[in-house]
Amino acid sequence: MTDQQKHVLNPKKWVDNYADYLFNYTISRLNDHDLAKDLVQETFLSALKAMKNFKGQASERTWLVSILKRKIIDQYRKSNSKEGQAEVRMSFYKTGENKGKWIEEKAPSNWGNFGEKDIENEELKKTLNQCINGLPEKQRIVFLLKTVKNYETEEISNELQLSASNIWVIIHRARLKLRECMENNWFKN
Amino acid sequence: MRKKIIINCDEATEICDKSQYCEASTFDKFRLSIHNFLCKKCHLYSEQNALMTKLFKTHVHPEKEHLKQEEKEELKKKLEENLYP
Repeated sequence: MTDQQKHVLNPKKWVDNYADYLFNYTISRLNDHDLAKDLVQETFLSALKAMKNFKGQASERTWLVSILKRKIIDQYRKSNSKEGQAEVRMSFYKTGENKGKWIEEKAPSNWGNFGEKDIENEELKKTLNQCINGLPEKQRIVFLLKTVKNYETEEISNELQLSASNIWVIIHRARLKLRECMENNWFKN
Repeated sequence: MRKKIIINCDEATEICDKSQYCEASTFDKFRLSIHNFLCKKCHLYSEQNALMTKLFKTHVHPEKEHLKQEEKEELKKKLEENLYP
């Protein structure tokens, strides 16, 4: 035994000690309760299988988080390939002489007299969160990290292995969708 | 590559999105304001986008979600089953 104390695993205590932490870590990235719960469960089950590989160098929590991180990246990749070809609902012409111009029915229309005082509203909050949950997963993850967790672009770049310009394109698409979703479900209702 | 001053709506709105996080450069903001001066749609987008940012700040706090007690019990059960299969 070396001077440095080795960390040990105690799976019976995992739920009590780490479920909340891992859940918070996940929900702030996915904003989806059930999906977050499933990923936490998968993390624990994968950790059980991998227990013999635990060398005791990192703390139990750090080790579990590293497994969870991989699950989140997998989730991200999965959605990436699923949604890759589904990007048909675009807002701008992609080719021709109108390239880069608004497609007429996607362009912003007037929202009436919405003011600061109308922001505090439970129904609006619900609609907004539904719009966010309706985003394709990869857009949701990147958008939330940037907007809610206030991550630096570089941190997201490291966590999800994306280039900065890629991140901005993703955020751009997410915000276009969110604006449109709020227009259709709130401001023009 | 020299950056152009005249940009299209797709580029303008992307710069506008960047500026919501204070990450648009001065030159980008300059290009955006020229574009918005000439383009009603993007001008409107910029206004609405600023409002969207306020809505996100006020209403989106996913960290307030919790695992319910019964969900934790469920997790424990699952873990237990796999601990002694």
